Amino acid sequence: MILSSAKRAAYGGFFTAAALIFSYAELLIPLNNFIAVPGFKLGLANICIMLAFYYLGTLDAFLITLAKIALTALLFGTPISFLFSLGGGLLAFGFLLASKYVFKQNISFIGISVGCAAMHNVGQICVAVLFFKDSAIFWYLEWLLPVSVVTGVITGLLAVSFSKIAEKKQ
Amino acid sequence: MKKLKIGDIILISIILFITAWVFGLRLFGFDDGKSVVVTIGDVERVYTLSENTSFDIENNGISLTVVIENGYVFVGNSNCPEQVCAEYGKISRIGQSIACVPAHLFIKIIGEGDGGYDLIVG
Repeated sequence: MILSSAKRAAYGGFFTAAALIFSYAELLIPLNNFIAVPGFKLGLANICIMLAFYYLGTLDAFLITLAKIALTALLFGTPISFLFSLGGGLLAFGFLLASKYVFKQNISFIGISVGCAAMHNVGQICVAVLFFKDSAIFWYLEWLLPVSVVTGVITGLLAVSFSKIAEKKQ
Repeated sequence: MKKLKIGDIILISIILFITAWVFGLRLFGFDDGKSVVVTIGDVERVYTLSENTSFDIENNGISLTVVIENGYVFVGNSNCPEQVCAEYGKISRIGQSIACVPAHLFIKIIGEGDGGYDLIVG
């Protein structure tokens, strides 16, 4: 999609704002009441980043990712949570970029979203291992990975329906 | 970008495979370097925490069963009137111990490292 610079800035702002709203909405969903392992969230903001990646391009999506991480840390987080989401966010974005070249047209938003969720968790665990200097934290992945498949499918399905709406409007 | 594609299935399979593999490592004898030192009176015996075993001990008129199972140690049955050791529950971390005074029994988990954190608050 080729956009004028003004339109590009507007879309960038829109996706960043939407990602922030999703991050905030996640705080209101008490997912810990349903799953016994703490620290889970749906990752709704990833919908915005995936859509931005496919409709705006790599650079814009990357900037939106960085803005989203910095702003959520400032608004709802701590310096430590910033480091954790930076590690997760960068690795998830790395997967997003890799999936474009590895899987090309053979993957849908569902697979991309599952991969992003898994890599986000791996990134966070890596930061946690470096931060606490305790490699036993890696064992937490045996819970995080299967849950990332479930949350990834949910956010992937939402991304598919959002992209259908977007394509209808054009 | 409509329905499930081959890449999705491959990716989800890979993730589930890694999960199963990690679970397998955990369930079937992953040696994390922790040992269980069981002291009965003056006799000291060392066991590996990752190897499931159980043994009966009789000392000072008390008979009890020490069980090592799935990375945990606990005292199963005890005819001790106090039942302190049996009620202590399962221990798994470096530095944790169970003591049974009437039977002159002391169980301690040793290994490298500091045993990890009690709780991490983000």
